[in-house]
Amino acid sequence: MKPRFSFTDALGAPFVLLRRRPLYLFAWGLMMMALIAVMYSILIPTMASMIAAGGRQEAFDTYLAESIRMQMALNGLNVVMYLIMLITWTAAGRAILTPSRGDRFLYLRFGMDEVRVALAVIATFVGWYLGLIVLVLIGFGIGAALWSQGEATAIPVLVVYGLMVFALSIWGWLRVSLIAPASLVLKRFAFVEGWAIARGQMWKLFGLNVAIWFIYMISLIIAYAAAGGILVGAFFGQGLVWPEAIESVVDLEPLIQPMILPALATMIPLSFVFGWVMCLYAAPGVVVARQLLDGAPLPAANAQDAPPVDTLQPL
Amino acid sequence: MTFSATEAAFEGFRVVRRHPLAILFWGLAYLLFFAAAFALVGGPLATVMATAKTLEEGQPGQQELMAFGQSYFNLMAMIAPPMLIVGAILNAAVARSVLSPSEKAFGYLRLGADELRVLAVSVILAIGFAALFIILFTAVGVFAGLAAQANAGVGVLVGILLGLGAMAVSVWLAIRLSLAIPATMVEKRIAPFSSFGLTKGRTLPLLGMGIIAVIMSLLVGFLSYIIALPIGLATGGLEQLADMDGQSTMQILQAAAPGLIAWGVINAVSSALQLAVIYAPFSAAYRDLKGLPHE
Repeated sequence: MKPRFSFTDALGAPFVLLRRRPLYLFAWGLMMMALIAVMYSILIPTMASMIAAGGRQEAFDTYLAESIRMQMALNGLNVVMYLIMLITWTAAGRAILTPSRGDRFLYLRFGMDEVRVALAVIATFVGWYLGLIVLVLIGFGIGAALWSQGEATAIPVLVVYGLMVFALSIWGWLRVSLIAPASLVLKRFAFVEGWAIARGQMWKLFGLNVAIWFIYMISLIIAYAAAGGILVGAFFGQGLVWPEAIESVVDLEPLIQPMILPALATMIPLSFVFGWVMCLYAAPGVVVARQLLDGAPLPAANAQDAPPVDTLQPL
Repeated sequence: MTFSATEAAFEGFRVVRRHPLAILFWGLAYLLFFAAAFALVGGPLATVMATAKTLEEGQPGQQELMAFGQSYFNLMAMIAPPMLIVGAILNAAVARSVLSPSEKAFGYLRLGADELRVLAVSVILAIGFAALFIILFTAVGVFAGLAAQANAGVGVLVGILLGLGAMAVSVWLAIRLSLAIPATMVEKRIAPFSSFGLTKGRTLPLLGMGIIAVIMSLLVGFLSYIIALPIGLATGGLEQLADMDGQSTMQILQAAAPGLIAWGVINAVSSALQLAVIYAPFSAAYRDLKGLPHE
């Protein structure tokens, strides 16, 4: 019998983590927010020195002098950002594999699991991307060959080919999408297993990914609205007024001091949402891989040990 | 004979774990090479860095691009021969660390017949692949050109399809011959093509192993970059050479020694790690495919 996975379990997995481990989610997100704060602490002084510069030429010279140094620092921090995404992804995956057990390191590790997942994701992405480039090149060749037959022939063929490539790229991505989760579940590279278990599950995986995307978009809108609400509320609540003309950084100073606390407060919803997004990326795939590899649904979490200590206790 | 591509892909890390001192020796070899190369080409290197900086800052014309190409070519022509020799010594050391792990004196570094054979195989394969590329892509150009005479668009399509085919053939052949260095080390003879039979039917696993090894090497490079970044920012790194065009090697050293030493040490260790990660899997694959004992 073909192995099956439960759509409800997979889609519900991030919500299980949200309910049972909200502080873990917050901590995972806070790591990313801290990094973003570091990035802004590098960007803002540079921008401020440009604003503070006397003339256009002076601002450009300042920019040139600072940009190389800033670019190097930001490139390095981008790599750190990918590392944070990796370890929070595996943390979320690990957390959903042992839903009833806490972890004093918040499931954060840097070991062979992380190495395998990073390699699996990069290798599948590179393979998928190379395949896409080959298909696009062939499409270009077909277009060039058909163009002499007239646009009436070439355009419909190219549109159909483009749609086929688009569909094929989605199919390809879905087909390899369980390799990284399966590698985490099996604790070894699972290129063959990840590829094999996705077979025959394409429509369900497609539906799952569409649903995840919708939840992701709604979550982002809510988080940005909350952060925007905090900033706008603090701005008008304190009776601040935006300067009519900004000639130098001094003109912004009356706003900086009163807005520091509200800006820090936005880190709460934004940290939650980043932790949540990593759960959305990791948990459904891990649950799908686990169920398809087992051929059976995950055991339900032990009701007796819920709720864990890090969730709100019933009154 | 049990060969697992994903197991073999991690052989570089096993080498580091078994003999961490080997990395120190290999890093030292790189450092000596960097120092010798800098003594040889310090001035031209500053010229290349200055030209590159000029190109980055403006809209380069044909003259600037040609000047950059010329100075880069001069630089490479000077350092290519010692680079080949050091490459052969290190390549042989990595293979020895996997195939004969007990011979660990001097971090497996030697200068003997094995190294000469590895150098010969590397040169033969480099020339062979250059010739193959020329033949394949000339053929692609000829067939595409012939097709284009009938219809320009069909010529483009033929060019793309044959070009992709030629690249596939090149990759396939590179994989089939990818065990030439360990084969040369074990068979004690110049054996650039002896791995062709051994790799039959194993192309995909070996390709996968190679891709994983390359990605791991890139990850090691990224991590080194993160570690090197604050040190580079503090000491000026190699980039400061761009402002020293026209100065002698001694003048450059006097002005920028801390930055250059820091750059050299970090890159030496990073290069040694990357070397192990990328080359050791092929020796492990050879050992496992041949059924050689794991010492």
